[in-house]
Amino acid sequence: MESGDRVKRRLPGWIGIAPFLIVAFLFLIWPAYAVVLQAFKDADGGFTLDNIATATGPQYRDAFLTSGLLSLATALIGGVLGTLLTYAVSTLERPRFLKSAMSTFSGVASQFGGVPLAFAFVASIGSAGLVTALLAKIGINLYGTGFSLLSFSGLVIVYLYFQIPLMLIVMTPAVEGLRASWREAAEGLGASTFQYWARVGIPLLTPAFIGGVVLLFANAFAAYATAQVLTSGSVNLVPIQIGFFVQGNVFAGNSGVGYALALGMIIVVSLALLINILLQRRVSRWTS
Amino acid sequence: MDPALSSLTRCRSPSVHLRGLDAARRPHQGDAVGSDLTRRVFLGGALTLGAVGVGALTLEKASSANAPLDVPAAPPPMTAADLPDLIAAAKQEGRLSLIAMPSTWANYGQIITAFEAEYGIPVDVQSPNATSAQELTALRLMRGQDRLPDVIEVGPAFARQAVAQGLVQPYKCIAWDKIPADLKHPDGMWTGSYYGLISFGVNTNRVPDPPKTWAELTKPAYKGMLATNGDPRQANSALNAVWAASLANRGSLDDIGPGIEFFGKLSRQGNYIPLQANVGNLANQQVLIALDWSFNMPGAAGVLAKSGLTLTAAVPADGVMGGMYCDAISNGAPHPAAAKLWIEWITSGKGALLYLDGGAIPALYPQFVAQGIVPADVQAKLPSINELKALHFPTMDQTAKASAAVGAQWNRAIA
Amino acid sequence: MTGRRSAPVGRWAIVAVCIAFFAIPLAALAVFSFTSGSGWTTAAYSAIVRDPQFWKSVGLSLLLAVLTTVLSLLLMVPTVLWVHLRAPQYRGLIEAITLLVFAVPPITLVIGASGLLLGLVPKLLGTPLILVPFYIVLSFAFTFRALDAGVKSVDLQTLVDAAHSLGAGTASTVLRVILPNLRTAILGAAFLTITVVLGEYVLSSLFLYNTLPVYMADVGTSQAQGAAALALITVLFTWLLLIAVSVVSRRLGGERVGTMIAST
Repeated sequence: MESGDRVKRRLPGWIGIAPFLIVAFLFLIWPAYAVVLQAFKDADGGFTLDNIATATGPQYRDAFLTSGLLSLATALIGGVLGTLLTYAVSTLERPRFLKSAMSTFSGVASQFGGVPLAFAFVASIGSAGLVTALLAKIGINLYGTGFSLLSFSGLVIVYLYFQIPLMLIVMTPAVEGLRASWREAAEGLGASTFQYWARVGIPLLTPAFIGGVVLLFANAFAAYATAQVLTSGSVNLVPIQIGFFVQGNVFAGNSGVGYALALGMIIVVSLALLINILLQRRVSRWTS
Repeated sequence: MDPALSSLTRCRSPSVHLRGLDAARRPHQGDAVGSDLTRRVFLGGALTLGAVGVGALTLEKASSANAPLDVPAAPPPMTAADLPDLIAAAKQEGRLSLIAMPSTWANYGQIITAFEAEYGIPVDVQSPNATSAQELTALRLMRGQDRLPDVIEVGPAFARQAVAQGLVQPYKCIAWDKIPADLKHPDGMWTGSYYGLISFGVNTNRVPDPPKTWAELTKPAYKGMLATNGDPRQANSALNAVWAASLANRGSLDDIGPGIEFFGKLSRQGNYIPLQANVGNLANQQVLIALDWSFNMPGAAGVLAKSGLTLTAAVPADGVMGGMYCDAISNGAPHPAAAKLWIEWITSGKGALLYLDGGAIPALYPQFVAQGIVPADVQAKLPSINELKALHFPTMDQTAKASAAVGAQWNRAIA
Repeated sequence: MTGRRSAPVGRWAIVAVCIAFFAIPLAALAVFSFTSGSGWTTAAYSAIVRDPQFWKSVGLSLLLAVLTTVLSLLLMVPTVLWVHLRAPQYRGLIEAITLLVFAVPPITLVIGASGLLLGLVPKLLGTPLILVPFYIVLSFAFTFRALDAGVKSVDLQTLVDAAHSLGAGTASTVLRVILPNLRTAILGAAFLTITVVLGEYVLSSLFLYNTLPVYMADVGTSQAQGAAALALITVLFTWLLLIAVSVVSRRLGGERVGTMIAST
């Protein structure tokens, strides 16, 4: 053993993670903390609870509800579809490029959002979109059914475009961790496919699944640019409301309400993430 | 639990049913420890945050970088005789930095090019689509840097904020005394160089029978065609569109409620769509009737003309809403002389006349008409001088009240 | 048993449906970008290529992507190694912090940033480089997961012990033993960081820098075809880049990068 090694052994554990903690503090934790503080400041900088009071008004409670529903819907649908897709992609043997193509595409698609994503969907299922026109040619009037891209249901569909790939990225290690040997062992012991899934497969996948769903929930809740471009506010979402106060052309001087809403968002999503962490610990215990 | 699998895990519990924190208390090799460490971490974290927070707050207060800048005293009023010196000083500075001025807004594209040609001073426009809030953020973030914009143009509510926070400096242009009182700040902190009226911009290729009044907008023929330039809680132009509708429905500058209800009705009918009526959406015909400022129409019409489409604009007869934007020189502007020259250009220089081509009404419009330099056909498109004199802009308080009302009621109305 | 022998119709159906769902909007983008009022044209594309601002934005975004990736790896690889080898009790804390990013809406980060940063690093605030540390933070979750998964799949402690017993010092161990084994994890982390930076809109527009997504949004307000063309170019370019490196990495003997990305 080298002397350098012995010196290293005397260094406390936290030294190695200090650079990470410093960066995280300066550029994440402190700004988040400042946001929380701003929620309690009025226009002159003095302490006030008015922002919090305003932010609990009916239109903002509506916003939290709508954001929550949208996030939950896309998280669950995206979670289920993403998991099924992951399983399919992981286990299908042909074509051989499928797994690689899907995972690289998922890396790109999970970050796809804002203007490009909105335009892509307007071009396909917007009122003058390609798909809408094709459907009309075969006699289906998409917008006649009351559907509109610029609505809650439209947003769900659009959000799935990045939610499903994100789920694929999250679930792949869990699905790949379902070793084929376990399945063979189960079958050797006489278990049917259903029993395999019910007693082995699903219990093993569940923690990762829940963690992934929670991650998708947080991701959808915070999404701003996509909803802004598509609906410019007609669907009442929390990030958009925050945008009105912090980055708008109408509300001036009461940005504190925006920060109070941000505080609410931090609380909601932090709770969800806490669940995620607790559940992820179980995953590593099972597959390590 | 399948016995074949339990040997594959390191969990020492014989019954493998996951029991959450119970399992977590058992020490695992190299594993993250459970609730004990979690509690310590959270406690420690909270204390640290508290201590550091107090420390950082003190640091912030003490930091001179965050202290509000002193606002320079108002310079002596400009006269025409001072202009050549100003031009020389501006040329010496060598550039002008603007922000948030799209080229199709009030003909700023041409106004800027003409300024560059006249004085040989290059102009660069940062973030043409920035919002008023972003402009103020820019003034705060870029303090002391060369990137700081020299001139900002924001809605009146934001101008009030900018003044209160010491972000702008006073300047009274040559034509100061002739500018109406409601188009300028009493101490010269900002100037309203132009104003506009809410009008209907109609794609006449697809809409052969354009609406002429607010009341007509409820016709079923206009289903799926109407849009404002954004959400009224986000975009000043949309707020004023709702206000104009209010005026047409027995509301007033003090009461935007009828306007909100009217748009609610339009939305339920499906006539009003939540898409933004910007040039892009007009050009690809997603939006066929734009309810927007008159000074956004000619720019859009020009773009549509390139695809062979025609956009005609008209001010609705039953609800006329005027609105202005405030131009101010930033406090600590890197090129103050160029900034002042710019203000001159858009208040009494050739730039002011170019506003007319953009559908905006310059502040000195009555004087220009009196001087005979406004072509007759341009005058014909605008309301008469007397009508314009009778136009009232909303006060700051009325604007605050209206935006609060929209903030509270818009979503319920449109949903 | 029979379920596994017969053709996997169910799985094929899912894959087909998902592929259709992902491909159709891109196809619509393509069609839209080539149309104008009167038939097919590449006018949108040529307008973009001729716009100097486009190239400036691409340059800025690529520069930020490279800087962010390099600095992020320089920060995270040692951190992950340290945590696994010397301080495993902090792993949970670090993971919690990386996920905290999702809780704070980026639109509000500016206010927190401006106060402290104005005091500490005003000069940096004036350049686009101020975005780099924020981007590093934004991609924390992805880089940490990729590196963490990679480290878990390699028995690090054994490698280190073996290297030490053969007389290697710390530097050699890291450079010649550990890093080569983590190559695909590092590449996976790098590429996720690049996609994050190339797609990041909110912070760049808040700080008023003209990165590619901000440029795209600006173009979108006035020329829809141009924005569609841009969107298509960006997606395809990034995807092809990832695939190319995946292929190269496999040739060099590592796993496919694609697999590693999906293992985050």
